Amino acid sequence: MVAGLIVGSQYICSQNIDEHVLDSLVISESRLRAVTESSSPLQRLSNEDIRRVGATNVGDAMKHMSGVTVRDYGGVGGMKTVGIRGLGAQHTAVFYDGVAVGDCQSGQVDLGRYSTDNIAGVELLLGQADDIYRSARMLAAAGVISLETKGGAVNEECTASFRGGSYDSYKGSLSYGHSFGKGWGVSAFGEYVTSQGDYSYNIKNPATTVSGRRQNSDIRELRGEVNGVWQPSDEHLLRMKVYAYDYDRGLPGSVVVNNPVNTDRLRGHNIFGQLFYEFTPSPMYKMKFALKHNATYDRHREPRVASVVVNSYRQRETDFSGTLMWTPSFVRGLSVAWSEEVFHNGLKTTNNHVAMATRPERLTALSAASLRYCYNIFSVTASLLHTYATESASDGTVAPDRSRFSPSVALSLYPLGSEDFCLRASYKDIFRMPTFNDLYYREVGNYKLEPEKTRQYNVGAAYSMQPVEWCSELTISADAYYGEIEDKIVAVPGVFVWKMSNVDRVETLGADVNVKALFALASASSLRLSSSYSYMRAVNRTAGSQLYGEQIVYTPLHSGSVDVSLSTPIVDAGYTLLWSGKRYHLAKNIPSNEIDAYGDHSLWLSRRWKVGSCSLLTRAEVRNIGDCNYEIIRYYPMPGRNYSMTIMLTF
Amino acid sequence: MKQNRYLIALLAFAASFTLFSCSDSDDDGGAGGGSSTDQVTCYVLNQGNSGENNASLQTYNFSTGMATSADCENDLFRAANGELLGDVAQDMLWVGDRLFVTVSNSQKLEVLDLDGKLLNRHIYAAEGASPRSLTTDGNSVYVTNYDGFVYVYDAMSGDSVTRIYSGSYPEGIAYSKGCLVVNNSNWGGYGGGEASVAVIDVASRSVVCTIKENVCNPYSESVVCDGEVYIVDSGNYADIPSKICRVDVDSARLVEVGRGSLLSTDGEALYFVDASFSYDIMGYNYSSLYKMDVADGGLSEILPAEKMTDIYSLDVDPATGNVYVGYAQYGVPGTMRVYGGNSGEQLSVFEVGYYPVGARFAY
Repeated sequence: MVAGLIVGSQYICSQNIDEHVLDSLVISESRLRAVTESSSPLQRLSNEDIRRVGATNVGDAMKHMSGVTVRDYGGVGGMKTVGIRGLGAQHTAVFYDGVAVGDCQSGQVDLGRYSTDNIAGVELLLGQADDIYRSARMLAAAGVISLETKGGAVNEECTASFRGGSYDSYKGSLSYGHSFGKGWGVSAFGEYVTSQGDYSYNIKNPATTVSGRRQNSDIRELRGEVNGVWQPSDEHLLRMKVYAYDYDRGLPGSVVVNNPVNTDRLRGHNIFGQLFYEFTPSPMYKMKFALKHNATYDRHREPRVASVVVNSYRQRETDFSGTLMWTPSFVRGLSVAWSEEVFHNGLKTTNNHVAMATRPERLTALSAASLRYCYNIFSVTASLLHTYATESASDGTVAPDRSRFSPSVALSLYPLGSEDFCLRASYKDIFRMPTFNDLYYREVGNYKLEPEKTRQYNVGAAYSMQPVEWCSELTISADAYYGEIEDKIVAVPGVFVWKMSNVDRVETLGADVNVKALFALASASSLRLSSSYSYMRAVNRTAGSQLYGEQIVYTPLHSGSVDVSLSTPIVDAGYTLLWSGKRYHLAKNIPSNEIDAYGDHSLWLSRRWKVGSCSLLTRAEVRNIGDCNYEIIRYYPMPGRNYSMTIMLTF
Repeated sequence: MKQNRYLIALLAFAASFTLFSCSDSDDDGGAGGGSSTDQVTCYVLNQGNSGENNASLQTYNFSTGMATSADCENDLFRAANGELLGDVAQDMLWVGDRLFVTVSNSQKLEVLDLDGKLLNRHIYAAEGASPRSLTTDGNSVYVTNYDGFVYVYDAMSGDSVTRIYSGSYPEGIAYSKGCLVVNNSNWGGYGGGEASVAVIDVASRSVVCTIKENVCNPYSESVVCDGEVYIVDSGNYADIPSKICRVDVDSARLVEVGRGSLLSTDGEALYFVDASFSYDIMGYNYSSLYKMDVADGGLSEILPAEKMTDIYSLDVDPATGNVYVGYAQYGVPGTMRVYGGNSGEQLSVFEVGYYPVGARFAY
């Protein structure tokens, strides 16, 4: 993406005007909206940040952001989903280089599947976006995780990386970029991961210790992608991507008393191709279009005594989006955008129930009108999204058509007359459709489910400054929020068969605080501090329920992270802490349902070497140095103390 | 008191040899249904949540109204053995002074004494093995297992004797007239085999007949009443309703008795409730609790439908005729209510664990 980066404007919300005045100044780097500018909470981790905290996949990287709940099932191959502010992971939309990653079956994306080796940055937006020039689907989620790959901008370099660590874990990756001139460029990335994942554990509860070694935790992953970029002029930008992912993993399941054996296996692949075109005919108009086709195949193998039960799941998604933005020259500070997106999902599975819809398909149409107006020290952004969804199946009864309007609005105030200090407030009304699992999974599905509705309110402030000479950067953001979920979809017990139902109402009251600081030290050294804290009181407010007032499952009241890194001309070193207060793994807040608080401390040391024209990075890491046997999900133990070594060569 | 309980249990065990024709997998009278009803102790098995290792075993003394803890970390099993009972308890059975308990996800059969102390344990190590329901002929204990077999154990020692192949995913089991009647559930239709009801001759330990006609989904409910075996065929949880059937061994067929999902007996009458999900009310539709005298087919309502909401288990104390109804609601530990078998009056209520699967009685 190309955007103008302007400094010195007397206006705070100057991007549209600045493009008009200095449109010849173009920098071929993504312009990342400053965290302090955003009228909704925005957090970002750069590739360097991710490397510092030692996250090897996006799921692990997300643990360093505030307001999120990462459900980590442990191990290299363990699923990692991200929920925000007490909402389920189905409310979090994930975008890969600007195009949605969908999963119509479960509605949640396993971020453990996305390696950080090829990630240029991760961004989390909670609520309404200031950037109205985005696809309708980005507006249709309570929270958006945007993954920007290195393939988005072609660099003339080749990088080879190898990582080895505990539990026979190895990862090798290779990336290559080449520019042909005249705006043409290609890049490619490939990665292979393997791990036995057979770590030992001690799960403690007040009465008993369950010990053992994880079995059937092995994983093998192979992923690769090829990107093409063509930018013949400032008016035209074309990007293409083909992505392939193949995996084979054991499913260790939860630790079961007296039964350590689980031989279930999951294997499959995911292939998608996406095409992106942006046209900027004049400073007043710009438009972009994206087309994606995605195919996913998962095969679950359950060995039984007398037979092997095999179920397969095939998902297909085709998505087309178009966005037009108009920035009229006669109304300074005004931008208007219109976004349309149509996507089709289909699920074909062998795991059908005779009375349920088979081969369900859903066609969803999103239309969004957005407006942004900036005047002096004030800005307002508003959107109105319409969702229409219709379903069909080869057999059986399907859910009725859905049609719903979703408004959102955000305000920003810059009282100091600069972007360095921002007061903000936002409101977003959004919902999630029931997933195909919710609607049609065997006898548990319920095709009459209502969508799960949410309303989010946020107020906050962000301040960025250079308080003293030796502190070259200090950024603080604090937000308080209130959220409501109605018609929460849960499985309700019945005689022999559970059924998905709209049961709960949840209210969430919370606060997120993020602090980042960079201190200049003597001898060209620096110290970087990054810390996040979340307070989240997410309670059941279902009238008449025995769970009224209870904190919802897997949601700690307090959690946070601390990352400290020291950079010197010789070596870099760092310390990382992830911590969480106690949580409940079942809905009733009784002592036997508690999961202990934990703190996961890690240390790392790295050094860059110059070998001719090549750059060599070596890094050693000790994770969970306290050998704390903790769980994020009950009876899915996390690894104890473990080690890794990384070598990365760039030339 | 403990000595008295052992003595009573021993006497009752002896009596059970003449009464076992009325025993069943759901409502075994433990000590055979003695008459000291004022000293009845109810043992409640709580299934727990899958994957959470929070199955529990507790007792309730009807005379004193006192229940022991249902919490898996403080329950009878944990107190007696210092370890957790495990993941997803399935069924329990009193034989003499032995309590047999199956824990399906933990793949084990526990043999306990009256205090819950572990006397013997059998682990089914094979992948996919899952011990399910229990019954006895007084000499042996029979355990169905999803590996397709019925396992046979000595009732006194709890030692393994042999196993008998039954069919696809055996579930409910009952003993009557020298035969075992086994519900081969075919895992609700997902087992890759065929649902059936197998009749196994105990003497020869072989399947003498397999009923497949009009068999859809025979599940865990299986009782013996007046010498006949009654089971529940759970249908497909959609357009094929759940029904109660008498297993006519002689003609090798199922005879439909009525609609029902949960089934129990006091040895002379059937007690049953029907529960099915209704899209019209977006919830479960419950019938009243009915009692059917199998001798004359007389039907009477014991409890109205509104008292059946959230029912999860149904048991009848054969000595008193009191009805024990276990309730399970979303997200919270359950409750158990005791009703008079004739009056329908609520006699007591106590807290149980997550998803109570059954009550058994010791005198």
